Amino acid sequence: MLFNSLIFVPFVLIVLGLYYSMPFRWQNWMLLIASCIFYGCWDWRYLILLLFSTSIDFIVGQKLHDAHSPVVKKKLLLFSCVVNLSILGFFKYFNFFIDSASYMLSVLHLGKLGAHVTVLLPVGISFYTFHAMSYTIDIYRDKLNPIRNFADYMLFVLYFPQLVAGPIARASLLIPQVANPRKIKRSQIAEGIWLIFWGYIKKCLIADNLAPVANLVFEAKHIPNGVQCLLAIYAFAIQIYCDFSGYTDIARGLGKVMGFELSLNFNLPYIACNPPEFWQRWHISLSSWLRDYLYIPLGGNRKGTFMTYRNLVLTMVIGGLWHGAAWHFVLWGAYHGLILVLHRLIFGKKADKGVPASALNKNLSRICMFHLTCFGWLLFRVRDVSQLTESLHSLTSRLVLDASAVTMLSSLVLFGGILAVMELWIQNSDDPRKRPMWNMGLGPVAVTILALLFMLLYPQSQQAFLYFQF
Amino acid sequence: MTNEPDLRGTPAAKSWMYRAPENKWIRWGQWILIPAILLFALEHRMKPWTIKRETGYIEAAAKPPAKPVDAIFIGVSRVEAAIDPDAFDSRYKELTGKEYHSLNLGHPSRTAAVHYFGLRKLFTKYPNLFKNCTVFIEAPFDLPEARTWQDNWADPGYEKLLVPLLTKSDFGRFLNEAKLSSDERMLYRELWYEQKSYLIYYRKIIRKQAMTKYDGVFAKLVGKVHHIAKNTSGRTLDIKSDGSIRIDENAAEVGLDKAKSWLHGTVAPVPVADWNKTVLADIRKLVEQNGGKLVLFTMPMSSVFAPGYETPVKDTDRRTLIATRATWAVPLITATDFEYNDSDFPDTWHLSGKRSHDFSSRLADAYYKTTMAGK
Repeated sequence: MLFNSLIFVPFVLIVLGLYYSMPFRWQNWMLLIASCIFYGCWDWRYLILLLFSTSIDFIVGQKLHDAHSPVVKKKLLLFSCVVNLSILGFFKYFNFFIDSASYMLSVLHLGKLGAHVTVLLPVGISFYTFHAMSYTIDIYRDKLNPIRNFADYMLFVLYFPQLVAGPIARASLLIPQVANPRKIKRSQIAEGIWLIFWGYIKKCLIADNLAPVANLVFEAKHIPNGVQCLLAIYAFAIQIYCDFSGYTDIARGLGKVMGFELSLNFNLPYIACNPPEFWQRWHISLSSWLRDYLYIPLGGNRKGTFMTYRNLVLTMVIGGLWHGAAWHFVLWGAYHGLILVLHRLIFGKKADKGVPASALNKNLSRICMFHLTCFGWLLFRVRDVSQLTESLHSLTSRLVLDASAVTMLSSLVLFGGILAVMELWIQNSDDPRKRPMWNMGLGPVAVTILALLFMLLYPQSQQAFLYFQF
Repeated sequence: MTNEPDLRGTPAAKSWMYRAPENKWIRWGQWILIPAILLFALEHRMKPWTIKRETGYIEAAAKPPAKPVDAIFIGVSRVEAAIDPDAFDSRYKELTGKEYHSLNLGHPSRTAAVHYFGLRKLFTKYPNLFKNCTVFIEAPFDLPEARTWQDNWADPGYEKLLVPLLTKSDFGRFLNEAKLSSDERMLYRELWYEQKSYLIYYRKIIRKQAMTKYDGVFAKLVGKVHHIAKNTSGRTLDIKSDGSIRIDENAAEVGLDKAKSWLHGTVAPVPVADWNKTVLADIRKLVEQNGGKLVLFTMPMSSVFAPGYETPVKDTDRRTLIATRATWAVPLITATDFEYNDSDFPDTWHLSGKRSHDFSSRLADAYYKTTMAGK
């Protein structure tokens, strides 16, 4: 069941209707059942897998809290991590590592590995694995008390708005909301409705209309020319942002109308002036997870310059691999690790502050950072290395503005323009009523125009959410 | 639920730009009034535009012809392409010495059922203008469309041509009689309600038009600044959404695909059980009740499609139709002296515009001969 499928509308309406008419305990049970239905729509067998991993984490959580010996605690944590990562590794990375090893062996003329598993990747496995791991790690670190009610714990992992594509909820943030009665404020409902509306606009109007522009180049046999390639990269940059942040907005909006506050995942990432700022604005729940559970445990920036650089690159490579079992994701992660290192090398200790003072500097930095990010998206989007080299060759040598490029540009200007105008106005606020002129009639005008554009420009072919594959 | 958020200390409390109207009627009313005004204005603006786009029955029904109509040509896009009403009228005038006025209501994928309801609409709305009107219906290789009321009344993908022509009771009859899949039923029900708003019903056409216009303006603006290299890989016409005849370079490919599906028997794979139970028979009744007559005319077609009409099923159909036509007293006319070859069909499917004038004149000759022979 996708957020942009027709069946999701009655599903949500029924869930909300039941939710508002039930007492707290029943609400949790109902949400748990609804989440199972939501997830089971893909493949009910993966519910068993989910039940297995959540049961282990739940039991480990209890044991961790009750254990006094640090050795036992460490062993328990290790067990939980091994189980979670093994499931993730098997379903997501087994074939990737086998294929890569097989390729290496064949290059060295040492034969081939025959093992290959034909299995469907469980939807959202990367999200809920990190989700569940944060629970046991936080208990291990004494930052969280374990939850005693198994159904509540299941709901924490399975809560349907954020189950398949995040934001990756921290146990410390979500568990208290699951375990205690929720009070829904009117403002929360208003914010929720706005987020759902804006999320659908971003996904169905902007991302899905720009997808064909990017696909025109990246799905073609050969890269047509440099200008088209450049425009396709810009289109993909906007598409992936609107696709993913649109999903997050819908998830957060659904959470709000049920009284849940899910963490912010995007904060105008393309206005970032430098790489660290970009990662404070892009997929915040993942980057902060990686920072807290990987980068800092690796030593962070506390063990000298070289180790800091190593930790940065390693964290980003693993972050890249988290996105998918393919070398171009690894390359994308490594690229971001490298630009983080380069930024540190250039700006030294100012790297974390690093925001240029004047407005001109700031805007130039933004343009530079946007293009650095776009180069990253090229690595992310290409099918293989040969397409990457072909793209780079086109970008540097075959710059022709042809009729196709003008058509691509017109779509980019239209949909990018809608995004830019709205983002500059609303400034990523959950409550647009706090933005200038919203209450003076401009709010209803904007919403009507967006709804009309949504209806008229709704693409004929719907695209699945890009991050579902992760 | 608790009250409104406390905005004290936020910019919302500081400037008039952030303040909400104090009167709650204005505060909430703007959310109803502004969208309503905007939507109403757009809907009003769209009406003439969408009607103009929807050439044929809706347009003819909204804006009647200036003078009485003597003949209407009906069929699919082949008729739209092959018939030049002015050429037919002037040739017929030369032959008879009388003024003649015909309309071409051929349109891509307009089925016999669509024509039935379209003609009924015109005959009912403008009885004086269409009184005694002759209806020419296409019969490529002697065979007109053999759809019955139990078949889908519209071609898949062209359902919108049918729905606005139906009355409520027609629609009920359609859902009862036609053998439709559940998806088709849902689609038709959706369209039935959507047609109440031009903005919604014609949204795909509006989108296409708006985007084409926008792209054109954009290309002009960019063209002023840059030299644009020509290429052929730009947007191509989509026959389904564009609702017109394809002339782009991929059209022949589409035509060949169509021919393949035709040859493989996906279209009318079994012989017609009884021509009296086809929609065609009801069109004849409708036309005759209006004081006119029905005329079948053969259409020129390329050799690509000819094998589709030479199957055992088609032979049977041809035989049974000849017998039925005799009882109906419906003539079949053929422009026998119109010579053509495959190069006259740029997309393998439609007669080229250059030849339509000639074909229409020859058809007028054939019709004249038939009427004279009848006298």
